[in-house]
Amino acid sequence: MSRFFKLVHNEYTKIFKKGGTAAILILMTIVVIVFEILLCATAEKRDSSDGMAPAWSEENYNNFYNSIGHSNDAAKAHKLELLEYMKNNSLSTNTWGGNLLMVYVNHPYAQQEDFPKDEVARIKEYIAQDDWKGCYSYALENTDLPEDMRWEMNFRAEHNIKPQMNDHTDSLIDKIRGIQADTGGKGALTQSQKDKIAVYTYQLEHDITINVADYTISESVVENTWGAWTFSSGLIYVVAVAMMIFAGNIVANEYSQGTIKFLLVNPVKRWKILASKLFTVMTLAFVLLLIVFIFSGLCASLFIGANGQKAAWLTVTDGKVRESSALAFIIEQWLLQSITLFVLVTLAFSLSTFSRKSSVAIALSIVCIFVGNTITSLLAVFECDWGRFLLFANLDIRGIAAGESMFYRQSVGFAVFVLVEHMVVFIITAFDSFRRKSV
Amino acid sequence: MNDSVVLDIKDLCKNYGSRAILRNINMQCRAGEVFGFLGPNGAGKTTTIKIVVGLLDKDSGDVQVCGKSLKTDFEGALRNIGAIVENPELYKFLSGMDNLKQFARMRGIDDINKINDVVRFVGMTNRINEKVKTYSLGMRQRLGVAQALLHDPKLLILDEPTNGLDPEGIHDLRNILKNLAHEKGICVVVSSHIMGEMEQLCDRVGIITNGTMVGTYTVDELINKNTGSLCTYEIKVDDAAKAAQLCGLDDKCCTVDSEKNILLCSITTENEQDSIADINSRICAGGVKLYTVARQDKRSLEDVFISLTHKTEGDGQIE
Ligand SMILES: Nc1ncnc2c1ncn2[C@@H]1O[C@H](COP(=O)(O)OP(=O)(O)OP(=O)(O)O)[C@@H](O)[C@H]1O
Ligand SMILES: [Mg+2]
Repeated sequence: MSRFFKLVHNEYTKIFKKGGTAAILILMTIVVIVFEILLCATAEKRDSSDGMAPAWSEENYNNFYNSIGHSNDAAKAHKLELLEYMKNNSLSTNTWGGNLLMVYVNHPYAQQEDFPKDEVARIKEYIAQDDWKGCYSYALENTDLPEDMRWEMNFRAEHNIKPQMNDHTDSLIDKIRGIQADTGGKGALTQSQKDKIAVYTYQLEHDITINVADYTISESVVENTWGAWTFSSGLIYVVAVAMMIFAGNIVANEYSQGTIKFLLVNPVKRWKILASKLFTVMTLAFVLLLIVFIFSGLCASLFIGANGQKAAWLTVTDGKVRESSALAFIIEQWLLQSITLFVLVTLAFSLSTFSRKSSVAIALSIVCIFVGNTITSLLAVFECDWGRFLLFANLDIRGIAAGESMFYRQSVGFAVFVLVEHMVVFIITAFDSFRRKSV
Repeated sequence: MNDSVVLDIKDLCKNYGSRAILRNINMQCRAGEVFGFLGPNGAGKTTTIKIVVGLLDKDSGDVQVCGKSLKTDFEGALRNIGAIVENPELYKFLSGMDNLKQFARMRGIDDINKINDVVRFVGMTNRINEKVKTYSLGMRQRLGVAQALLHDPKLLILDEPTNGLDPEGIHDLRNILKNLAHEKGICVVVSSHIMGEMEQLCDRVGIITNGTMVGTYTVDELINKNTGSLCTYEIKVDDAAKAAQLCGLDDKCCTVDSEKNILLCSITTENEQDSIADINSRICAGGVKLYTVARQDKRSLEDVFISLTHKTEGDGQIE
């Protein structure tokens, strides 16, 4: 075993002392850095105050005041009094109390006596005590509220979600209401709709602003740490290109330099030499990947940030919501994407054992990718279903995970299976050809 | 002890497609000797060596190194071999030292002193930390030898090691190799088709032509070999061209130097006296003046080599 690591040591020495290596690594670094700079610059940085309710706006109230003052509303006097009260207590419409009081301001009353003075007085008391629950249950019982407001207040009371206008709970509740409105009431919810509602409810109950599972390849969000970090997994392709050059070189170079004879006259079996080369390429790919992963994570958290939001990875199994950390999701996305990298590297590696010129190996693997992609897209256009068994139909695993597969009936599991199977075939042919090769 | 067989090749055969490149090669090389592996271009020397060092698969036969068969104990057999096959192409972007470290790691040598010793032995101490791309051919050849000696092999195989070396380099290499064989008891196998070198270097030679082994001889044996070999007579006349026609020998056996008017005749040593007397009388009878007839005493390995590997058919073309 220690002999094997000595062989690996040799391979690393050869890679790092060769002239071209530094150039490739520098180029890769530049591309990665430029990518991150662009990403951080385009991500709209939200102000930290953005998430909170806007402050009291005098102007806003003056507008209400004027429009009611000039109308000939029956309960005009009471309404103006109420607005005055809100103004004096800095109750903006973005607080739950202000929002509720505005119901009375907006309600048309037929006569001045219809204005529910006692009710409003009770509500004012609740507001003064900041008892939203008590207030809601009182208002739900006694007041004539609009239907959607009633639904929301019920929902909040039921799930114990403190109202805070214009924050994420608002939009989540909107989404749930949207789904329920789609089905036109109760009963007709599909399983996926139920799952969605379960996740949104879980988010509301646990105050989780961001469910990173929403950050699929088709819905890239880059304005917070998690979204940007997930989006950065595109950099895997940059690592893949660099690694394909190393992999294409690692065997073919020995031939073009003529050093293969010196490599193979050693008392080491050929398969061990090839295995050490494969190990070298794979570990180097992994290390580069890890560096890029950590670097983009640092960029995302230092320059974009979390905006004080809480994120988690929520999934539903059998109607139950499971919470995992957002980092786990990001790692999963990166790993999924890097399977592609390892397949491409294996492709270049096995081509490297077939040709005596490294440039041929590299050019051939690039041609393979283009031709393979074209053929697969053609098959997809002509709906040849067996196309899904091809390597190139399965390279974009994140896309497949987001439901954007080229062929019908492709799943992540299927794609991983096809890719791993191709990798195994590449490796077997590489070892076989290297073992037989005459020098 | 010096008589133990280090390299034992038995009935080795190799085909490329339908062409037989090696036909039943048998060869034994012993510890403590420099063995010359001779043959004209395309005879199959490099092919044989590549099979021995495991670069090429054989079709049939067996190769044993120190009693270990390549077939059954590849790593064990290779552990006893140090080799340079064809050109000493090492990693140009590494220094000489880094190159040697690569080989040390592959052969399980941890001792840096071992490397330094080998470097000193081939006289490269002052340049060993420079990149190989700055080396001259001779320096690369020396580094190749250092590489081959790194793990104290019992068998050292060098394919045309004098390629590109200057006379001094050749001289040095010769001393190094003789020293290794005679002092350290290593079996050194050197392939070449340059006879002058081999004559001075080798204890024994094996001759291969066209994929078949002609035989194995000691150098003395070869030079004094009588049966079936040729000797050369230098005949000075006034008209060499005419004399060549008269002498009654086949074109291949007589060479005409018309400037100096000298005729060189190769004749078999069997009835040498009668043949030369016959030639003399024919030339005189034809009216050509015959000045001197001299037997060229010094028969070099080269003559023997040519007579052994010379093909009468095929117009001297490589097969
Ligand atoms: N890869 C190959 N494919 C087909 N034939 C080959 C191959 N390599 C060598 N040969 C043939 O094998 C024969 C022996 O070649 P080899 O290189 O062993 O000769 P050699 O004795 O080393 O000659 P030289 O003195 O020129 O180096 C030649 O006829 C050559 O054409
Ligand atoms: Mg040769």
